[in-house]
Amino acid sequence: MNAEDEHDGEDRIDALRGLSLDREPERDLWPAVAARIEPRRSWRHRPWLGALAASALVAAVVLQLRPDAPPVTDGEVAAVLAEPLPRAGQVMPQQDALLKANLAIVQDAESQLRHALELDPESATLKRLLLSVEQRQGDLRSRIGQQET
Amino acid sequence: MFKQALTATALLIALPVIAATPIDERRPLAADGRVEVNNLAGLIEVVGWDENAVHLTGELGEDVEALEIEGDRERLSIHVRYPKKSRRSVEETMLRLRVPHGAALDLNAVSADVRVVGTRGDLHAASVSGDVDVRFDGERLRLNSVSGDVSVQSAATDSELRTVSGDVVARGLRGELKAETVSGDIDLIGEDFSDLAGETVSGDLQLSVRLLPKSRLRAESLSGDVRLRLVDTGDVRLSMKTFSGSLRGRPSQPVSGDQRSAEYTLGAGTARAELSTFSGDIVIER
Repeated sequence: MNAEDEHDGEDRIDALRGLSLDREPERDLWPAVAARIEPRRSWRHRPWLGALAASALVAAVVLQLRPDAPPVTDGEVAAVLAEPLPRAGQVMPQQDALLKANLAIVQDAESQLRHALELDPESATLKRLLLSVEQRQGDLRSRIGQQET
Repeated sequence: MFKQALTATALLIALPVIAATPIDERRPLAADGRVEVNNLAGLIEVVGWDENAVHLTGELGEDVEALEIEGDRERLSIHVRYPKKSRRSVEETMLRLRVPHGAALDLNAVSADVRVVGTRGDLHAASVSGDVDVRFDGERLRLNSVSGDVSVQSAATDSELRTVSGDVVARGLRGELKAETVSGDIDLIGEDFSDLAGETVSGDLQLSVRLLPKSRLRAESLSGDVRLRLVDTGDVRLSMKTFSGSLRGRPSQPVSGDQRSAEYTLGAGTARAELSTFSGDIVIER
């Protein structure tokens, strides 16, 4: 955001502050708004989604996947080798930040699972998922620890 | 004995690096030798060939301190050393390796993609933010990423695929498969699974599979949807269970069940398929 944008934003906020708040809406607008902003898969509010969007690195699938998997042919190998290696670019190896962002995802998943288990305490599925998530959390913490030493 | 041989013949080469240095290194490697590669940023591409040698080409980023190649014809380690704790951006290093088809691979990347084509030794590949793409002729593979996608086309019979926030796509796998994500989607098409487990917390899980007479399939999610298409319905005892999602596409008259759970017996019912979610939907597709 540049200085001009920031100034424009402040003007708008000032204009909003000037609106009359005396009149109540004729109906509750929140349910319609909430339905539009609720993430598709969300079961509960997930504050990490913004962080994930900011940190996600999306890359295209390199291999064209077929439904089956016959042995690799000479033609496939030749095609890979004929493809020049991508040009090197500058990257910021944000391993630490990425690991922490994903740790936040895992922690949120753990929190959702624990809440779900309160509602369905006998669920073997939830218990298995919780165990997996705890293991992933341990892995990530270990990797973050290695980074910091 | 292997360790002693390694120590006796250990060879360490640290190449001095200048800006964007081209790489062209060749080492002997046994047909079933082991290759370990570590690269922080860029690409690790490995392609199988018929020679008992490793040929490493590509380009080193200008920030690289050293390219270390260590080991012998049984076990070779290739390590791209960048400055520790670099707080600035670095130039990527692009590695292309030709290795014997039967070589076992242990590939580790951070912000680098990993691509493997045409090897059949045991394969372990991991990246933090890079994608892992594999076209594999062997039996055993372990692929991990934290935020990158994992995709594989292979007839491997013993596979584990894991990500946290990336997606998993697999084609052609069989035998035993475990696929896990936390928030990423899982998309599997395969045949003749003996033991298949798919787990995700909030991603969607899509399976198109053929089960053997004594197969076990388990697909579980907290809030993602689970979709299953059985290729040849075969002899399956199918159970679907959800806490607050919906069940759709019921394959026949259920043996038992209600709105939240149902059990079906298809054919002799010798295989077992269990689909379960907390709030996601379960869909049987035809």
